[in-house]
Amino acid sequence: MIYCPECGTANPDGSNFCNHCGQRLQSVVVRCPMCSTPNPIGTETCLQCGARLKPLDLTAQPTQGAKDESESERLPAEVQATPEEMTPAVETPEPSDWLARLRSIAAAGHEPAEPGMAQETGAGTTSQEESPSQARELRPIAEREEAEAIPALQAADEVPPKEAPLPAWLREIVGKEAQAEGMSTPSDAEAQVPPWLRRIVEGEKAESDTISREHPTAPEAAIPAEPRPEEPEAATAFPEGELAPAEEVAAEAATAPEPQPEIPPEAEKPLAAQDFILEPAVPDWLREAAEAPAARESVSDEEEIPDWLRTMITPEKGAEASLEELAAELAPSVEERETEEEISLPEEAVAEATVPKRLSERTREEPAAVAEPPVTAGADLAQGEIPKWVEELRPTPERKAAPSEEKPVEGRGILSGVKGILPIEMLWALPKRAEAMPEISLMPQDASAGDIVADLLAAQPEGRALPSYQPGAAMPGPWVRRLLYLLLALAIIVPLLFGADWFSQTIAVSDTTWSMYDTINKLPPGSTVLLSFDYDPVTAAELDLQAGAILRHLLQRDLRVVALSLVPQGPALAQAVWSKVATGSDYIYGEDFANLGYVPGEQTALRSLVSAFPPSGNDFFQAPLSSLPMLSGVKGLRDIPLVIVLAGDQRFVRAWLEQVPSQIPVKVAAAVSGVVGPAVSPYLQSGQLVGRLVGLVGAAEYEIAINQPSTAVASLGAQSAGHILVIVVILLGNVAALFTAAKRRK
Amino acid sequence: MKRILLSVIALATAAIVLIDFFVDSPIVNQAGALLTEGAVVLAAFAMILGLLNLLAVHLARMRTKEPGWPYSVVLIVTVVVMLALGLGGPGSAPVTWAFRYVYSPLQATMFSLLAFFIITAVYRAFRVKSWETALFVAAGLIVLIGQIPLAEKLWQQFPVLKDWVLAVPATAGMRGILLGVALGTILAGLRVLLLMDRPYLE
Repeated sequence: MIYCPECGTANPDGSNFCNHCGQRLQSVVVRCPMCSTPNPIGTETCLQCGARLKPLDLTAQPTQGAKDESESERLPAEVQATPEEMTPAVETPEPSDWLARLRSIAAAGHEPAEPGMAQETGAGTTSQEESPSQARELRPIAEREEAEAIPALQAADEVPPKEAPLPAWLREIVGKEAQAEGMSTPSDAEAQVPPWLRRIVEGEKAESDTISREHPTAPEAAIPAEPRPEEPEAATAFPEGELAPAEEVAAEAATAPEPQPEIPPEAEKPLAAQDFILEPAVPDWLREAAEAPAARESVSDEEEIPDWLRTMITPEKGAEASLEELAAELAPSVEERETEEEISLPEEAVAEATVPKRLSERTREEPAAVAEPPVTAGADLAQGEIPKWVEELRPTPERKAAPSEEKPVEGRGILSGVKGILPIEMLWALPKRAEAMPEISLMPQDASAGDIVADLLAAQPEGRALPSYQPGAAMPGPWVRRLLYLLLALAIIVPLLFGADWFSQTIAVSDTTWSMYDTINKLPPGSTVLLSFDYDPVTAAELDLQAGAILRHLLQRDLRVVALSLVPQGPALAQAVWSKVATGSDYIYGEDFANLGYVPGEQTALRSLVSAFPPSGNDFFQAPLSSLPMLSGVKGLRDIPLVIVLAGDQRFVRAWLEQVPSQIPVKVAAAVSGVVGPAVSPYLQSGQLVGRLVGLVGAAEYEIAINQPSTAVASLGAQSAGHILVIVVILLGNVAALFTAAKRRK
Repeated sequence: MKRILLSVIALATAAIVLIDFFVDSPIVNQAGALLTEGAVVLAAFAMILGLLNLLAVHLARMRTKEPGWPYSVVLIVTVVVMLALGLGGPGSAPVTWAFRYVYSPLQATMFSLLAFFIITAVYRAFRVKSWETALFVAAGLIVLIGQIPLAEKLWQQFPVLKDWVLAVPATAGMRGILLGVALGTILAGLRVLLLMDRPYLE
């Protein structure tokens, strides 16, 4: 928390500007609201005056041990102490600066402090002075600051007393100290002492006697603080409705006037007392605190003063002082008491004090808003009561019993029944998840979309799960693979080497093959047929045989053949087929056959071929097309009635069908590899293709159709053997899979 | 300006060639033929450009000694040899010899290796694990058996069944693919004609 040096507003840590006045905040220091001393960030109390810089967090729930400690720290000593522990506390070795300073100031300004009083500023009053200040910390900081500042301001207007005043509670402590030192108690006032107080006094007397006997020179700090055996009885001896000693003492502590704020001697600017309107600014709680002592002191009868209190006063005034004098001294009138409580500092001290600007402004801004409550002389201690905020801090049994955390109870082993045993799994278990998801407000459309996503995520895939890859079962071992390779090689090589004519005896020519055969047979002799060698050596094993059979058929029909290719390797393959067919015959290149070579451009080239043959004007051997006799009447595709596409890829068949028949009335037939066969079936069924040969089987069929069985028929045995081997492998693979599955199930 | 000029040229060329399909006019037909012949010439030059690009890439690999650079050396040497052999024309004897006894056997060998891959593939892939795979295996067995001339001896309906499988289910699937390709081609042509795609600007 950073307090604004200008207006005093509490700003969160890290603030650069004040939330109230906009003043730039010193982020490196926290200025004390009481003495304006800059303190480092995070300092709990002022380094100069000890004022608390951070408000206490009343809502914190410490652990049981820490809770007790914190409560014992927060509560005044009078509240938390048992009757036996009400002896003067000397545990805290800290000197009481502010009290000493206050006394010295008072002594310097008016009267010298009494010797006994000067001694009291020692260790004997340390714990007592801290207790009210800690109780004061529990109140809201604004009220506390006002309570601290207002008495000082009031003192500036009034004449300081002739002697340094002491609060009632401090006076009691002084009396107790004196009693602990062995002072005798007047017996004539014992009847006026309440029974609980009498018990305390007796206990104190007995204890101090014991201490003085056992440790004549021992300091008071050596007094044992352990509770005595009769403590529970004393605590339960009070009927309900009657305040216990501790409660009464707490009430006294609560109603006791606040200690005067210490004024640092190095105060920066004087305080003008006439600038403040004091009375209306007194808060309620401070008014209650002022009322209670006044009411208590108003009972000025001699009988009301307990004898133990007289004994406390006696050392200060001397053993010969009369009870009336003591009573008159201890029970001044209400006006005097108020004056005493309001008196805090002499003018000199006030003049040096520095009141923060915010306090002066606040005092000016709140004039007489609250009427001063009437001070009733008849108010007694029962009405002075413990303030509510102190009552709430009382360590009740319920509050102590409330565990901050449920500790697990060990259920087995030698530690069974012991609480707080750390489970073993907590050492290695995963971090705890959030018990509940934070609630998220969803729009209806978002919720519906989320439901769809949730359904999709939750939906199980229909049917069975996809089979996972199982390398051991699916992949054949190296020896199996080698055996399969060997069998395949044998299935192909053996029929080729030794022949398998019995395969050719069962070849049946399909209708598509007969369709192509019939189309060629219907062409008039002398017509020119174009063979497009649109394949490469990859599929030459099939298509070369088809091309040879078709070329032979064409030549037998006295048809002229023009060859070209849409792939660079095609013309060479065409020339090889021609060479094979022409070998041993009287066919002549240029008269029966012409190779136009490679035509780049595929579909574009085909479109250009409609009107004229290749623009280069040369054949595969770079001879001018005009030098070829068979092309004297053939200038382009318009002069060709039939195109037979030998394709290793369906795109060539599609290119021919898309570009040529759409412009000129030309028939197109296809001789394709076995892989491309199904792809061109739609064109065959639609009639765009007049005939089709598929693969090696188609070549063999065509050889059978032209009644010239040759290489295709001879090769069909090897291919059939390979197919049989593939069928067997498929069956064996499934059988092996079944055995493997059965073995795994077992 | 350059983009506009290129777009106008592309649009005019495509429009003329397209009109040439539907209009029987000598002017339009000559213009269409001219443009298509120009496309063939460009395709031929594209082959030369591809050759130069190939040489540039592999020469760079040789200079930088990238992994596998010796193969680039083999490729460049082969190109140079074939160019030298082809100086006499594509139908010259050296080119024919190299093609027949070097190129064709090598390429056929590469393709023939597929048979060995297939024999191990069918061992793993043709497994009956579901009714879909059962159909797949059954169709494959029917076509394979139908290809064998002896199948007719075993059962006369095997060739008929094979033809049915190829003519009906296989062709139906293939027809769908072809229709899709045709529609895609039309769409691509329209996009170019409408200047929605300008590949010539890339």
